[in-house]
Amino acid sequence: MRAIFLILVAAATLAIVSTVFGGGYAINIAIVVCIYVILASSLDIVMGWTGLFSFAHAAFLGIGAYTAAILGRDFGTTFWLNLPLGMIVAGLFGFLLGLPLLRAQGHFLAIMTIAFQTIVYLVLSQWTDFTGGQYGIEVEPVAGFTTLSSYFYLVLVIAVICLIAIRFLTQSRLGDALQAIRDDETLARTIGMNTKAVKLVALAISSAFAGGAGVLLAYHIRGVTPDDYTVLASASIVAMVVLGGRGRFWGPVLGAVLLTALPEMLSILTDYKHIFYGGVLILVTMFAPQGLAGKFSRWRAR
Amino acid sequence: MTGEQKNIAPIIRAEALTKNFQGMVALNAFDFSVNEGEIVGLIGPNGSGKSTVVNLLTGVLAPTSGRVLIDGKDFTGAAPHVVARHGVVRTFQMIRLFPSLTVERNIVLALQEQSGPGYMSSFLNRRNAMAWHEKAACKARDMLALFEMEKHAHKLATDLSIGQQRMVELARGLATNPRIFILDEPAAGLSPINVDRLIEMIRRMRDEFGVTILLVEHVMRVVQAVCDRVVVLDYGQKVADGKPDVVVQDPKVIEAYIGLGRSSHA
Repeated sequence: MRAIFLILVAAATLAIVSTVFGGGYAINIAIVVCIYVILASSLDIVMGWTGLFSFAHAAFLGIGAYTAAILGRDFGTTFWLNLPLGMIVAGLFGFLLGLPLLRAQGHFLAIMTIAFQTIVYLVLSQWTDFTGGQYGIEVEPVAGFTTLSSYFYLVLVIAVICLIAIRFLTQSRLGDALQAIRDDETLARTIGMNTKAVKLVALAISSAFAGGAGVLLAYHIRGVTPDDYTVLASASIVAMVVLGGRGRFWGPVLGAVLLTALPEMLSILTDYKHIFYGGVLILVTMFAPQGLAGKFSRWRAR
Repeated sequence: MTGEQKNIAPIIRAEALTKNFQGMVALNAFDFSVNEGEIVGLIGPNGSGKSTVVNLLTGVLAPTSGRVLIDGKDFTGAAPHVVARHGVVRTFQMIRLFPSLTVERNIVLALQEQSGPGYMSSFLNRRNAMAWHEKAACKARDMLALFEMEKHAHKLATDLSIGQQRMVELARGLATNPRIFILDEPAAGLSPINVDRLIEMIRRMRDEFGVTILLVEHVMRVVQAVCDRVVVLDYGQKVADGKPDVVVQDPKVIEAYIGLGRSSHA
């Protein structure tokens, strides 16, 4: 309950800071921050809580975004239908990827996710008739939320709902099961857990949230192009989770806020964003493997 | 075939169970069964195949040939979680508890996976799930009290001593009302006082809770104190099966342990 209160306080702070003190540029950043908070928190379900390293999260982001764009183009469906459908399609792909993926473990699993990520990128960029190739697809703004600030509030509310859902999920018995798999999968199986099914569910849920974030992103930049959904984008989300702290609710939130807002504020960094992310990733793994949230809770424990 | 002549069906039974590891025979045509209410010891020198037997019975390994029957049904090659849900519950030689979970949650999770409502149904019927969970937590605390561990219920498992962790492992297994409880070297790493406590708890699990126990053990003191019957393995073969005091006199057993030109064993 305290966590939910803190989520609301953080959301209100973000709303006030970006609308009162900043103009359109600040609101733009705030929208991207919200989207990346959803992405990092949902990746943490598999990476932090279950212990499966995935470099394919941007692929699910892309699948959600393209689902919305293609449905809008071909069937004229609205945002309110595209959002759940984008989540369902991405979740389905997560489930399907999981079937071969979960036969592998550790590094091999991570490499397979990179392969999947690459395949998705290639399909998005090469299947021109369906995806628009490198030109992508245009997306009409959400009716009733055409101004930047109104769309920001919409994204903020959805991000808050996602965070609360993820909080409930990780505190539930499913959260215990995920941690058990991360701690000791053999033991989890011998106490009667169908660990493969639990991992599949975790991957599907995590992918569905990424798909939702993709729909939000598509409507924000009013279009989809394949270059937003590369393995570099996946690595950025991984960097956010690692910097913030794996398997802790506030870790990925913190990581997403820092790594999205900092490069924008220090405009020098913008061009070298991925180098910056890489550097952060190396430093964090060396000096704070539990992430910033891990460091904080250590200080508090003293 | 002495025990099997009687009319009681064995809870667990291995028929000509064989396991090869890349040409090395770890277990060779092993026949054996455990009847309801028995405490059976499985002993043998290091590398004799004891752990292989446990892993085959619990589905961690699939046999090269032979069958595993639980309550007369064929479970050969079944997944570990399927075997566990039929009441074949085990502990590990190296203690295994989930370090991220509290002691109580370790036990509740085991109860949940054994007999709790599924994730989907607990999501759909929240009230029912919460009532079940409340009951499971109660049961976990009762079990911890039985093992005099109730004051540690909310500690992380890794903050306990080895002896205490062993008791939590036993509490976790007993909580799920196992058909058969397989203890893999439970005395390993325990102080003599804790070994006495272990002996007492193994007896109580059978006498008060009617649990059938397969005890894989090195420490002969424990085996002789609690076992009704002892099965001896050497080089993946059964060399003896009988009452503890008879078996320890068996020349084949003495040879397996003392050995002829082989390193002896503690």
